[in-house]
Amino acid sequence: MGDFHIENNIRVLRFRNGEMTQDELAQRAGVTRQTINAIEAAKYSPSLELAFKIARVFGEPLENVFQYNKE
Amino acid sequence: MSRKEIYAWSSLALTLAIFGYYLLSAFGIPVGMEDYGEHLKSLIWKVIGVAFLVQLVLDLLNSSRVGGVAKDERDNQIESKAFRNAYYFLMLSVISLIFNVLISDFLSETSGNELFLNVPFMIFHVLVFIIFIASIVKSGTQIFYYQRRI
Repeated sequence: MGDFHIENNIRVLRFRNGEMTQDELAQRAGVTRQTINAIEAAKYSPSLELAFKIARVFGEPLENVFQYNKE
Repeated sequence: MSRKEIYAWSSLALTLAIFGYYLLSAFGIPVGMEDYGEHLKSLIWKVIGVAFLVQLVLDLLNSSRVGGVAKDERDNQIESKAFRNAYYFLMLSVISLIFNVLISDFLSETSGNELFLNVPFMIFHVLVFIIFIASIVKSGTQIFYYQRRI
């Protein structure tokens, strides 16, 4: 059985939302730009609360932003 | 580089500088480096000054809430890993030191020779080393995780 990991569409969604910068998203989600960068690069898995906040910034359901897939 | 990462770097520099100053004050300038003693002390004071200023500016920025969020869940997670590693090191070192004292005491009584840890103030110095190194482990762990961008 393979390992599962969290993928995300944050980069795509940022560009679809008026080429939003990482800094802008970070401010709206209440975190640092470095945290958004780490999440986008799939190096850091956000808490459920932060995942919902990010999804809310884009006005998308959670599963459109984050996916839990097999590697 | 986030504010917390800069803080970790300045904290590491400050700890190393104070540790260096402590070593110089307690044990003197190393043999062969007598000519550089004053330069070394001046360098240590400069590092302490710069690190202190950096931390002061960061604290002021954080208290005035200028430039966005100062600390978030990722910083807290990294900080907790750093505290965990420093705590493990501290506990392991203190337990080892206690056993060493007991063994040294026993060996001194049986052999009659004065051993390393029975030298006056040596336990105090070792404890100070442990505290400094635990602080270095904490800052080092934070920097390690920030560099890996977890």
